Amino acid sequence: MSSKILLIEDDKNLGDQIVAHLKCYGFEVAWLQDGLAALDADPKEHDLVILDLMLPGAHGLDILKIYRETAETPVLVLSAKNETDTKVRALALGADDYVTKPFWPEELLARVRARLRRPLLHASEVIETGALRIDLGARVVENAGQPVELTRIEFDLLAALAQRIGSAITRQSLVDRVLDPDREGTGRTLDVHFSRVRKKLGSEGARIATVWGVGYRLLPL
Amino acid sequence: MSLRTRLLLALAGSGLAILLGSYVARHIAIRYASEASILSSIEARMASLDRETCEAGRDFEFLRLGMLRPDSPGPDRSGEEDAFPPRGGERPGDFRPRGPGARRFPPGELAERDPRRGPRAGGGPGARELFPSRFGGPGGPRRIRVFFYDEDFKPRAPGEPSFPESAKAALKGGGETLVNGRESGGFFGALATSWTGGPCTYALALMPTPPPLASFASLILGALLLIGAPALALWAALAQPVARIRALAAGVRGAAAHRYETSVPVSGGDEIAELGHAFNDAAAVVRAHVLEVERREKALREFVAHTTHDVALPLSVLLSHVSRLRQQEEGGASENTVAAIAQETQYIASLLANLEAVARLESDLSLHERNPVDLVALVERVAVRHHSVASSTGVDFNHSVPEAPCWVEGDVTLIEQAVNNLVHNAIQYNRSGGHVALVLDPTGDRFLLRVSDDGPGVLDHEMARLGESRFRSEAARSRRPGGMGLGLSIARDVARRHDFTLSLRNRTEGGFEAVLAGNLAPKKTPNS
Repeated sequence: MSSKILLIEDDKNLGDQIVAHLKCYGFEVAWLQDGLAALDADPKEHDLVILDLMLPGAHGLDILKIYRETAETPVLVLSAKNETDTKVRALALGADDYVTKPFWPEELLARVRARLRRPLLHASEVIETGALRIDLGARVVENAGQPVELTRIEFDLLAALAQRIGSAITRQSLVDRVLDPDREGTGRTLDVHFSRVRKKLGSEGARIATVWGVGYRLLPL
Repeated sequence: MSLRTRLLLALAGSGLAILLGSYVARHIAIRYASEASILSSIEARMASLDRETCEAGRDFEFLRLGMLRPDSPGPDRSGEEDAFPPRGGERPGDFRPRGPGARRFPPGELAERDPRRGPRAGGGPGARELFPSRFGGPGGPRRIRVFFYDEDFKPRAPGEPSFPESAKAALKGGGETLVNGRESGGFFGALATSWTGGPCTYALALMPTPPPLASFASLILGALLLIGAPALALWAALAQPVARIRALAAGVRGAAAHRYETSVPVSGGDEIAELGHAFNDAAAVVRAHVLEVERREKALREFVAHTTHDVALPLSVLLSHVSRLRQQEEGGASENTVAAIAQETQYIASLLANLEAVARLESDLSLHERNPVDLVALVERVAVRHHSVASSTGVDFNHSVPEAPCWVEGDVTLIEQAVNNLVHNAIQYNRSGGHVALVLDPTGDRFLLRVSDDGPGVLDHEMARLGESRFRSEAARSRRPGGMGLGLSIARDVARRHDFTLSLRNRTEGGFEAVLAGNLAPKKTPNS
């Protein structure tokens, strides 16, 4: 089911672009161009609100204040004023994030997605991604249903990447988290361990990517 | 040295000079007065005496002049003449002593002195020192005594003082009938009378030197009184003006601290009050200038803010169009052109944000706005902003942040702009196929924010220019000033204001690296 987004933006051209862009990525968008109309709207009917601050009829921060009295719907503020106090006030009033104009539509999209998938971290014991099934509690990895034999270090390295799929993890944090600093705590051994994991995971092993200047990442599907 | 100390020192100096001067003047005056009075008295003595009386020894043994008061040694005191009482047969009108040079003798008496008398040995038996204590030696009462001597300078009566040698020579040499001089202990006057051949051939008058002015202790006391009393008076008199000058100085400092918005309190109608009024007038002029400059600065800031606001909106629309165009042209014939358009549009957007940052940094020398800033969220925002441009220019851009938020205290807009500029530079000056990494790495109570690339790096001689902390106008205008330009200057300034460090270096494995480092906020706060 697509997420419903309420866009409150008085500029016709920008509003058109944002609506088109969000619809293109499968969002359902309702667009209000007037502050007074926004005051009458019910934020609870939407999954996320994109709120411009300079509006005719009512100021964005006042709208935010009223919304926050009744609803917990995430609010993303669009601000042309690249001023710290405006951002700080918006966040203090309960805004979840902000995007400063001018912005790339991709930037807005990323902020929207980040807000909508907030309970993102895999708090669960079992991570399933692609053909991989990683049971953190039992410390078992299956590839397409077949168990994969991993050493303690190899399992911990894979688990560290799998818990934040798509995010690049620095070499230093992997070394700190997994390797024993007294015996094998160097960057070189890290590469050796990852090359073994890749081999053991077969085709899924290609999803473990080296990230230049950072470390490693488990690519999402 | 304070004003009062200076004045007191001047007073002490002049007081000492006066003391010394009066002492010397007294000395000189006493000398002249003594010489004058001794000659006067000896002349008066002769005028009031006849030979027989003298030779018979029936005259006064001495004349009492009386005590000379130390502070009034006038050479022509009227009392002096009165101190020589007239006697029977005298002619008072014949003699009027008038200072050291006055020589009026009764005619026919002193003139009869025989000038042909040869030198004789003086100082017979019984001769004594000139100023024995029993005649009132130095320090005794100032009496003038007159003694008589014969041709051989033997005293008329035994026990009387001997005739001074210097006077003997002068009187024997002829010509001089009256001499005076000074010997140890007092002054003398000597006279060759006209009564030659007898015991009254020569007369000698002696006057001991006056006693010293006072004892050493009383001298010190006098000096203390002379200097100390005026000093105390001066000190007391200066207390109030000095306090007012100090109050005025404090008021001026206070006014300066409040940017001359307050005036200095002025009381009284003297020169100090005049100074206070003059300062207030000057402060008013300064204040007017400051207000005018601030008004202009505010107008300029507002102009920049309005302009950036006005430009930001259409620029967002433009970025959106470019983004759509890029999607449509992916793999198409115009892909490179669209990528170039995207890059330039991004540059304009970045320049706009930098101009706004410069306007803020230039107008606000300190950092007023400090709020909790989550560096993780900040890095995510910067990364998202640059991913699309990086991919369109063929640069592999990656970022990494820790899972938990990283809080620092600061101005979120400025820090974000600083990081933005570091990333923008790394992508802008890289080549297609190059890499850029943005890594936030908290360790303990510190954070490291590293932006590294494998681009061409910076030439050594340009590295020094990167250290320039102030904005350079040519850097602002120049798109690619062989280095980083305006963006890096802003990053440096922002780092400085937050007590962060920004280190720049060429990586040994090639490329460039900028590291922003600083302290994490001590307590994690759930805002921003």
